[in-house]
Amino acid sequence: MLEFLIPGLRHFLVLGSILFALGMYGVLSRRNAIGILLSIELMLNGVNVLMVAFARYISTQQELAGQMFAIFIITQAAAEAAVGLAIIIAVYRQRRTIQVDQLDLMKG
Amino acid sequence: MLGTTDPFTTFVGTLSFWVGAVASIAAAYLMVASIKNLIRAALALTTVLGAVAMMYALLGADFLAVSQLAIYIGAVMVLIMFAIFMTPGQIDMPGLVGRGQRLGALLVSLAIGAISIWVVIYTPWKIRDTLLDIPTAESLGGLMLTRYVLPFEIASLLLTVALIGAIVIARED
Repeated sequence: MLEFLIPGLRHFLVLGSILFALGMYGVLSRRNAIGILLSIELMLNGVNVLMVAFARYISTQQELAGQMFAIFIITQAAAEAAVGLAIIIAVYRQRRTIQVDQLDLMKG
Repeated sequence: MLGTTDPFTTFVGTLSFWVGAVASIAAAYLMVASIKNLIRAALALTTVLGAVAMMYALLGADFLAVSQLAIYIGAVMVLIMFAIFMTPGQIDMPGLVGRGQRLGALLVSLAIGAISIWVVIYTPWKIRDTLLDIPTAESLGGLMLTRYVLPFEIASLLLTVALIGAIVIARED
């Protein structure tokens, strides 16, 4: 009767989807650029949970492909964090703010 | 269906999944929706990252679990902390947009979350019979130098470009 409590593929997929949706809410609702970056990291982690769960449970010709994808996503996230934070610091030096609604230099 | 290395045949394995899942969702919710202070939001994200590392370990991805701890919690979070400290006066600013945009964001993210949860629950996945071998580090290393050697090289190039780019952008001149 409590079989749904035993974790399987779908539990991990639902967990990853929830983390992704929460991250998306953060990206859309934060005004601070660093807060947006934190939410993007949350979204990437949600996707990574899906990848690793697929690598564990789905039968496929290519073993470990999901874990490989997760490794490349982690690499890309590290690069993205470095460049993003460098841009944020450069913007802060020029404008003394990182609230994205005040960064309207390109507004026509 | 699953082999003997499945941690969820034991009570402790199942319990650790639920502890990690509840902790990560609660911390993620607090991070995006209720915490205003950026430092606290970053610490909440660190909780999520640790819980995700636990999920990797439960899924038999030992190498990825350690990489998650080393790269995300060890390096990326420290980088983010430094960036927060280097932008003084921005930490406690009200971090959220106005009510209208927040409602839109809630609708969009709820819709995407509901659709993807519905899809993953009702798709008939082809579950494999035997679990992956643990440890995975040896097979991952072999794959990285054979089938995935081109993405591997591109990732190296990407990291070099990101390193140089970050220095050039953030340098004072």
